[in-house]
Order: sequence, then structure tokens, then C-alpha cells
Amino acid sequence: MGSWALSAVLKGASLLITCPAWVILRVFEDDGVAFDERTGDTHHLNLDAARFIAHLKGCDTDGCRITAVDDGLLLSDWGVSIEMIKDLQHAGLIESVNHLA
Amino acid sequence: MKVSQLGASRCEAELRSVGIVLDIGGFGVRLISEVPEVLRELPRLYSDYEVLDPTESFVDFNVSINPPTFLRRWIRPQVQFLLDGFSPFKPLPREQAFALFEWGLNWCIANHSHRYLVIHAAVVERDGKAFVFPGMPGSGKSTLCAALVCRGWRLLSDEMAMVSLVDGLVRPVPRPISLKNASIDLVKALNETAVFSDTVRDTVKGAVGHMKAPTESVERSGECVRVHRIVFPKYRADASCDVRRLTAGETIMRLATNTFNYPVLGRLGFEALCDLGARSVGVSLEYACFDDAFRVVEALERES
Repeated sequence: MGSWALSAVLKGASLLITCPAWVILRVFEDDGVAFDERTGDTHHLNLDAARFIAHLKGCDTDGCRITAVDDGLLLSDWGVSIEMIKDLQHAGLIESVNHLA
Repeated sequence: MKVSQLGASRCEAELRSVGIVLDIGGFGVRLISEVPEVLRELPRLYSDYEVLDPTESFVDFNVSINPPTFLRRWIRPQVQFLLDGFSPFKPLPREQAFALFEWGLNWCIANHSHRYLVIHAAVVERDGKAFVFPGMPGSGKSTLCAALVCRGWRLLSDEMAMVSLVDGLVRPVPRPISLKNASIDLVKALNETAVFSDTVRDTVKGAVGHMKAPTESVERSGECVRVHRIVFPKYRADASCDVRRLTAGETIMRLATNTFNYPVLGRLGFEALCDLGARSVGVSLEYACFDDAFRVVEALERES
């Protein structure tokens, strides 16, 4: 699903998100870094984003299903916003954002 | 045998003919040159380095610094850097011959040492604590490095931090410290007994001079050290001293932009940088005078 469509995610909708195997992540006390083995790019992540990607990497290959709980806010447990999802998607750190519902 | 024990005439004769193989931080470097500037500066700045027997040692880099053509010996004299007969750079005016050797050797090491993370940084050490000063040209890392060396810190390198991919220790490659423009007189004033090359004017970097690495640093070039702090210096004449601790992520991102072979190493490089950033605190330091910088570095040194 393109990021334009992400903007239209409705409250209660479900998304399936995966982190590609070629993304390597390190999470530290205050932030994190991710390395894209395909492109060689290194990305600086705030702690929320780093923990979210760590969570995705801990999920099975089917990815992680999250539910929009409010306009622009997804899965309150992770504090992940639509904007963050878009940024991570643009950076190539997550993919397969599928609108399931 | 050291270069100083060779004697001036034998040193010159060997440089002109078969070359001299030097042990420079574990690299075997054979240098051949008949250029007066090299014949003059090499015994002065490399007097403490071991001369290796070429029949028993592996030569990593076969370097020659000589005129590119016969005419360039006499008409607007130039010199060319050759590595195994290959010229990676354009020729430069002859008076820059020794600086060209130093710059060329930087290039050789940075491009052929992929057992290490090769970070564009100065490194000094005291009491087993290494300080890495990464920075782009003009950040003041070499000047700060030279000033600390004048205060008794051991020089590991003024140009490249060689961090082992195996154990994360820094491999010393002590060589003459390259100083530019106003830094030359600034550092000369700190240590009147230090040995300097002649200053070469009108290079692409302005005036360039080299300060000889202390004898003790050269003799201890086999002693690898753990990184204690990573300090990103920025000299600004009108700055007040500003120190800011960096997060591990910020430190790693800054290091990545200063690591020559990061794109070559891929995942290995990323993991080594992460290990380095995780165990060594990064600090950003803006300073205008040495006293401020010394105070900060020595306070960081006392931290566990």
C-alpha cells in the first residue's frame, strides 16, 4: 500500500507490516540505527522507531498486524504514528503495508 | 636497524637505487626516490622507524616519488606518486614531494586495509585510554592531536583510526603529523624541541608542514588500545567552549560519514561501528583555544 493510502487509514483498520530481512538493527538506550544491506544506507532512528522495528523483526515472516486506534495514530502500545510508518517505508526499513480490513 | 642508524649517505644511496623498506605501523612500505625534498625529509621525520630486510619481509606498498618525465626534472619540476607502478594522483610541484608521499601513503592505507574500520580521525592515548578525534579536513583534529602529543599523549595516528574488526582495538600507525597554515606555528610554540619538516607553501591545502612522531610512539606502534572516548572536534576562532554528549546512534552516524571503507565493509562495518559506538561515549566539542580542549579531554580521561 502506498503512503498516500496510509493517510487514509481509518480508525479500526488493520495493517500488516514487515521488516525486510536485509535490514539490520541495533537499539541503544536513547535511539537506534538500522543498516540496509541492499543499499548500504545507514539510518538513524529515534527510540520509538527503533523499538518498533525491533518488534517487527521479532515477529514471524508474516509480519506484524497493527490496528489504527485514532486518526493518524496506530497501535497505542508502540506509539507509532502514520508519519513514522511513512518515514520508515520511504527509508526502505519496512515494507508490505497491507490494508487488511 | 633504524633509519637513523643507516647513516645519511647510505640512506640516500638506497633511496635512489633499490629503495628502503620501512616498518610503518606494521605495514611494509618500500620507498624509492631521488627527489631532494624526500632525501632530506625522510631521514629527519622517519629516523625512528625500523628498516626491514626486503628479502625477509612482505612489502605492502611499493612506492616511488620521482619526476613523471625527464623534462619535469628541469622544467617546472614535478613529482609523481607511483604505487606498484600505478599513479593514483596527478603530479605535483617538486617542492611538495614529501607531502605527496604522506598523502599518498594515507591513500594506500585507507584503500587497502579492510581488516580494519578505517576512520578519518586522529588518535592519541594515555594510560591505556585511546581518544579518537574524527573530523573532516579543517575540523582541527590534527592540530588538537599535535597539541596533545606535545603534552605527552602517545600518538597513534593523526589521520586514521584503524579499528580492528576482530577485537575492536585501535592499531597504532604513528606517522608525521600533518599541520596546515596557522596551526604550524601554533604547534611549534607548544614544543620547541619537536622536529618539523620544512613548510611547503601553495599546496591545495595551503601551507603544509609535518611534525615528527615522538620516538616513544613509534617504538610502541605494536601496542593496540581500546577506545575510551570519541570526540568530534570543531575549532572556531570565536567559539566559546561547547561540549555535548552524543547518543550512541548519533555517534555511529557521525562515525559512518568519517569511515573511509564503510561502504566496502557492509554489514561487518556496520556491526563494528555499532560495537564501537555502544562501548565508547561520543562527545561533540567546539573550542577556540587549546586550554579549553585540554580541560575537556582530560576530564573525559578521568571518567571510567
